[in-house]
Amino acid sequence: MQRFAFSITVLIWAAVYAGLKLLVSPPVPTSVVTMYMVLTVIGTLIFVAANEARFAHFVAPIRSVFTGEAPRAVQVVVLVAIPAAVAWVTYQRVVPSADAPFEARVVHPEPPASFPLHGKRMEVAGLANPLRSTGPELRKRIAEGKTVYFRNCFFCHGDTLAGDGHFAGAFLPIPGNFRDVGTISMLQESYVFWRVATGGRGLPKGATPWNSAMPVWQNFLTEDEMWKVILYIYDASGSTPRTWDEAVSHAKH
Amino acid sequence: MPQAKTAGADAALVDALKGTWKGILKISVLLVATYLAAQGLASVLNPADYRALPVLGNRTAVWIVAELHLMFAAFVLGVPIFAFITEIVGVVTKERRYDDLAREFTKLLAMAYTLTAALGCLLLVLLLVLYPKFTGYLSKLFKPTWALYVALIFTEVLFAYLYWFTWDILQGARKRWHLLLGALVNIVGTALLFVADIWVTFMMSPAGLDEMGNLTSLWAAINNHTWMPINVHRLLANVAFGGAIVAAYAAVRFLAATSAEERARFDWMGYVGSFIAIAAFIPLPFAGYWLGREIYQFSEQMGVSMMGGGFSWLWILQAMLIGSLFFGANFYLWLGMGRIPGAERYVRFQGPMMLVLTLGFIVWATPRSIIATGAEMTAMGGSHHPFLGLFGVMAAKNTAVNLMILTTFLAFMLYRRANRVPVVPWAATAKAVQAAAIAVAGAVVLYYGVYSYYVPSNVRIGFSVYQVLAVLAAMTVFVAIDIPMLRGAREIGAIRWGDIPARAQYGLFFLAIAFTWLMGLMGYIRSGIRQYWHVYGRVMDESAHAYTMTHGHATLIVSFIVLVFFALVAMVFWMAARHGSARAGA
Amino acid sequence: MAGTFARIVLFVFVVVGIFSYVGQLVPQFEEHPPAKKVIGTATPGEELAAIGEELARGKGGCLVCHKVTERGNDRGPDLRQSTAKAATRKPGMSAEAYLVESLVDPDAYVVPDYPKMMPSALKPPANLTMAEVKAVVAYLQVLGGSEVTVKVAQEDLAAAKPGGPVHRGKTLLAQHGCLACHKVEGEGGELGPDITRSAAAREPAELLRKIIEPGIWTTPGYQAGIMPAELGRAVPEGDRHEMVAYLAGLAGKSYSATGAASPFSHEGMRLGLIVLVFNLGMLVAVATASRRRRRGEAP
Repeated sequence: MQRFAFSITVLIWAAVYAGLKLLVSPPVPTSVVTMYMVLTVIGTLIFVAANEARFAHFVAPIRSVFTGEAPRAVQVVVLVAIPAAVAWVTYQRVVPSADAPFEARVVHPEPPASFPLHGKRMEVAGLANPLRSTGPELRKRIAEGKTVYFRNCFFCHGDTLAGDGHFAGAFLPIPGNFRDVGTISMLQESYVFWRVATGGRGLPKGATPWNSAMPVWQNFLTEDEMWKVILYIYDASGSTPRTWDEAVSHAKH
Repeated sequence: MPQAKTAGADAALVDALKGTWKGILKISVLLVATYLAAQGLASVLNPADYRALPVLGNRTAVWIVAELHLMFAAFVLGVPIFAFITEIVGVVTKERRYDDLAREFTKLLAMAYTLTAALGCLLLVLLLVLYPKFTGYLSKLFKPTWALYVALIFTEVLFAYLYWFTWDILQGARKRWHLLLGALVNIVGTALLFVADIWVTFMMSPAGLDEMGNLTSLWAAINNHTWMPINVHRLLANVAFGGAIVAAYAAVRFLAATSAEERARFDWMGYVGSFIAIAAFIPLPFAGYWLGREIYQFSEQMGVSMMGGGFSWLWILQAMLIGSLFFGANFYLWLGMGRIPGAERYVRFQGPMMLVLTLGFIVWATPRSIIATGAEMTAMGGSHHPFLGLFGVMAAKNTAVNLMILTTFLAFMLYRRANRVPVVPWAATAKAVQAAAIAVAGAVVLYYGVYSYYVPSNVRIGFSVYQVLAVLAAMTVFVAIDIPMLRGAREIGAIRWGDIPARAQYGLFFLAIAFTWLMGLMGYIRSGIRQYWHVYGRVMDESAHAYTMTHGHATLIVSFIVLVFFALVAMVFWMAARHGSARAGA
Repeated sequence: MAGTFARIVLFVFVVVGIFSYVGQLVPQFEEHPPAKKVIGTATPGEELAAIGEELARGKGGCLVCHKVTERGNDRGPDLRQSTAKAATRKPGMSAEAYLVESLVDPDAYVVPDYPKMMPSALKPPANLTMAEVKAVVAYLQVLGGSEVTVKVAQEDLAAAKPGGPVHRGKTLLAQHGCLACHKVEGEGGELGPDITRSAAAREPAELLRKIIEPGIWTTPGYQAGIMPAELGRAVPEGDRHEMVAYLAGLAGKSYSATGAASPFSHEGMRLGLIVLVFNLGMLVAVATASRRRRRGEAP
């Protein structure tokens, strides 16, 4: 095994690259592929270098190419291939493309301490859904929220709340998918309320660029309607809002 | 004859006391000069809330000096802990080389204390001149602690100098007195750290104030949410830092060594340093989680802006650093096994262990929000990948880091027993139990890691505790079995100290750089999450430098601080070496 | 040796360089603190009213005499009614114009049953600028439940005086509305006692407390319980220290708001004491040890 350290290493790199490119669907973004490949290369190199025998076997073929022990054909191929690879990467980086530039969005930027709502200021800390209750009236409110949802939100967020409404394809960033565990189920209701009420325009600087098409819903809906629609999206997506450990957080005060 | 001996000891004692006094005088002059300079400046300059420092700017100047002061403080607090531990090991094992190692590093302290104090004084002057109003506010609020702090500085210097100067006098039967001195140095040093943390943590998570900002309880202000977690976190980090610097020093000396004996000596020294660094490093993530939890409990807003806002990108950097620390530590241990006869038995474990480490690193470094082009985003259906997105959340990262810790621990344990074969009759059973303990811990970590995806977040937070407990329990069981099992074990061969490739030493040096850089980065995050507040939510920073800079800019400053720190440390080592050789030559 | 050292230095630079490089790969943005509210010609009505509310409570000192809630002072008319009644006060004058006039020139029309006692808002103690007066009017309009109609003109802004910190303490006293009632160095209201020499008889710490707990004593000749506690409590702690430092200075005492103190202050003495104790301790220790050594050598 050790004798083929070099070949095995190169094979592992190729296999990981092929796996990332071919096996994962939807395709993995280039930035992530690059990062995973860098880590794989570092990991394998460290593994190889951490043992003298392994390292010697790994270095031997490389050394033989550069000291002239390897067959002339191999030397030529390597010496042509390395500059060619560098040239190709360089070309790839400078070639003009019609793609939109990289976007580094923070999906869930931190909410401000307070935000304006209908002329008053809402404090985010401690904000809870006033309509959330355990009684029978909850079903009624959820039903009302559903009406609000289908009159306003469904065009983008879709009738199954999967972020695939009629207009979804036209927007970038695309509308949120509430069925995804990474969206509303990991957020508090106060957070969701802030996002609904202030829309894409209310995103803080940490969430650059501000090209979210989400309207500022407080301009169209009442406070109650927004809370009701939040009740509905949690109910219909089968998720629960994130809560904080109340008992612990007040113990020390 | 006994009379002459006493006279000699008395003469040495006088010298020791004189040396200590010199140290105290130095600190006295420094402090008094700083006090007079600061007050003089404060009375000469026009009253203002803020004053501008040309070129560098207020914040950057204070940042650089404060971080350097902190790093040197970590060094002067970490090295005595390191020296004390090695001294005890020397007494227990009766091996002379441990005592010599402890002595060699204690020698550095005198110089390092002066530098730390000078940086601290510079910091104080900068704060008083550039941020007069805020500094005045803080010093008024914590008036009683300042005098305590100064008194502690003197006590620390007194004990530390005595510890160094009485090293040769208090040997043999009197060794326990020297150990007592070592303990006192560390107790006072820890107290010093705790007092300094009061001010820092109060700025992060103020407490003990009424709504109008008046102090209601000094103790509540001291014992704020983040005080204890930061104390513990910094204490552990100091030990690891001290060990890492010792290892880096040994690495340099190894690489510059000209004889086999020297190489053997510094190889061993590097091993001891890295051992202590890694041992203290392993519990650090746990202390970090505690701190994070307390920050959330103090203010969700602060917690969210730390983990989910703009600062979330710096955690990717942190993941990269910690991941590479794990890589570096394992790399060094495995290369070290090359010089241990019998270690061949464990080489076959390296492949799977590397696999766990690489996968762990990959999971840990996967960002929550992926950088993607528009086309890629549309294909993914959002800015997080339906499959890779699973790696972006805390549950996956906790699982990854716990498994990485477990793996590194295992590498350590295999290293320890590499040249030994247990002779006790129950060795086979014991090994099976150890393997089972590791396997169970790994399974528990994985189980809760996967299960976390199915429960709400407040339940999930609790799971990380089970994961940590499982790992800690497995470690405890492992070590508890290991010690009696390897007692009187048969040695396959002696460790061939010095017979290690040079790249292992670069690995050690890498650990020290990564550690220092990590300290700089985490210091920035800790301080940066206050955003535009001096005291979070209470006293606003109204200076021109209240904004949060770009991450790129911040990392450049951190890099600059690290380079200056290494230059200064090199100077300390070089001057100590020159001093030592001058004395030896005289 | 030099080669090894150079290689290590290079190694440090490479590793630190890689870390910095990764730091440049993550998204780069600056986050600025929320902008300070500044009145401009384009300031929307809502925001103008918010600024006006702050001014009415703080710098303007309006609430010393007027009330905006059920509980409050009755020296002047209830401000909640001001907008509604403004239109009826002077025939031919719009509500907005009347409100501006009564702030700038209060004596132009005095509401029946109230004494002539209000100073112009443009002069000390309130010392508002014209733009600030308009902001207060915007607040009054919102308070009265009507739309904000008042507009800030360019010339209102030009009139804003550049406030230099000549006497910061004094500026702060004006800003926080203290001079509405108190006189200092010949400027200010008559409702409360002159505080120019207040620090002569009292310790700075007592004055600090008096600001937030006005009830702890009352100057003879003045009615107790008039000074509103919430006014003092709204003053940030740092500003309070500066105000007291200023008052202490007027009385020839030194009290530092910024921590600056003479070498003979408490801090200085304490530092000196610690230095002395440790150095004397070492002196005694060295002397004792030396004596022991000499005694050991002597026989």
